[in-house]
Amino acid sequence: MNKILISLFIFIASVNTAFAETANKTQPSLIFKNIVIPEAPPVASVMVAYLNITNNSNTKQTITKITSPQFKRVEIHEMSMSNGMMNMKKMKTLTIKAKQKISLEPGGLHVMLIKPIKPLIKGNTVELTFMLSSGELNTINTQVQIVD
Amino acid sequence: MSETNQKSNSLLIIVVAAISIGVGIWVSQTVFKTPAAVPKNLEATLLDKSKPLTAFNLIDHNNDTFNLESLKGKWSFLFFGFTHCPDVCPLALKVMQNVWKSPELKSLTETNLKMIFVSVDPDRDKPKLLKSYVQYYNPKFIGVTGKSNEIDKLTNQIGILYGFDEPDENGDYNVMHSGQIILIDPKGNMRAVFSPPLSPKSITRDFIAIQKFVEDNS
Repeated sequence: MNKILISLFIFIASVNTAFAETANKTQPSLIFKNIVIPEAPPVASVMVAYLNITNNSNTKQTITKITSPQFKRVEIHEMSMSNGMMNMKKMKTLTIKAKQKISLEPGGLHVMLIKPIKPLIKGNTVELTFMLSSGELNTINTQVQIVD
Repeated sequence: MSETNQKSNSLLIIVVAAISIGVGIWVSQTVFKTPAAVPKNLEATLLDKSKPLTAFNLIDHNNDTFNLESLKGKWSFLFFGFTHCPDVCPLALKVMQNVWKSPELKSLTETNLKMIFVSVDPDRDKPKLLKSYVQYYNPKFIGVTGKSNEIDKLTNQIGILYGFDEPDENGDYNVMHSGQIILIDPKGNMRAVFSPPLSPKSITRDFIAIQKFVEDNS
């Protein structure tokens, strides 16, 4: 009897989780598009990801952390000119206003991929998980590519 | 006076006239040589007056000496950065790779061109690492670094700026640096500066014009 109850409980719990996940998947707050991770020299200790992020929700969304199983650390950086030099500043969070789209592109914002666990070449998959202040998680997968 | 004589006289006049014109052109081009016009519509900044570089003493990615003499004999493109750079340096090296590959420069690349990446971060960028890094972009590219005071001897006279941020909690640090590519002529004179946004097409086009201008005036 107990076994049946436990099985039933697990079944209901998994169905609930599946529904919750489906709900999240169908309506994520942020939409990630045009993700580009250029191949870098195999000895490079950093790589970069460029992408567009659209806030599909009606409230502002803040990215608080990004993780990737392929890298030790992932950070958001902003490139800017300062005293005639290209300068890079780490951003603790990145906020996107409701219904706004931002572009992370060369010379501006970028996702910095620090210390690859192993060298990545064209065609290798990189998984990035974006954590939002709301607790929402968005995971995207993309392949390293050669960019000219 | 025969018809044949008249014909040979006319021929003589034509020959003399042609020789005179030829000599005239030659004299005007050599004795009264006018300087070639400065190329127009350049995106690059061409220096009004070429700037002869002074001595510096660095090492290349094979641990061999790299000094002022190493810049002589060929045209050199120089970019200053560091291999831990995520964005600016890979983009600049990609641009240099595309300039090198451009069909218009095919005859030059093997014999008359050098692409040089100078790391201003010698603590992390050892020659072995630099070699793998630059040669990913092209096996002919040259990585250069050295002691900070020697790097400064080069950057100061070229007008390249760089500086180090404080290390973060992981000990990683960023290097701020200029984003220009510098063009040095085969006599070791600084000639032009290519500023971001860098485009392989405009750099190639401008380089051909600058090279012609310099050679016509030398």
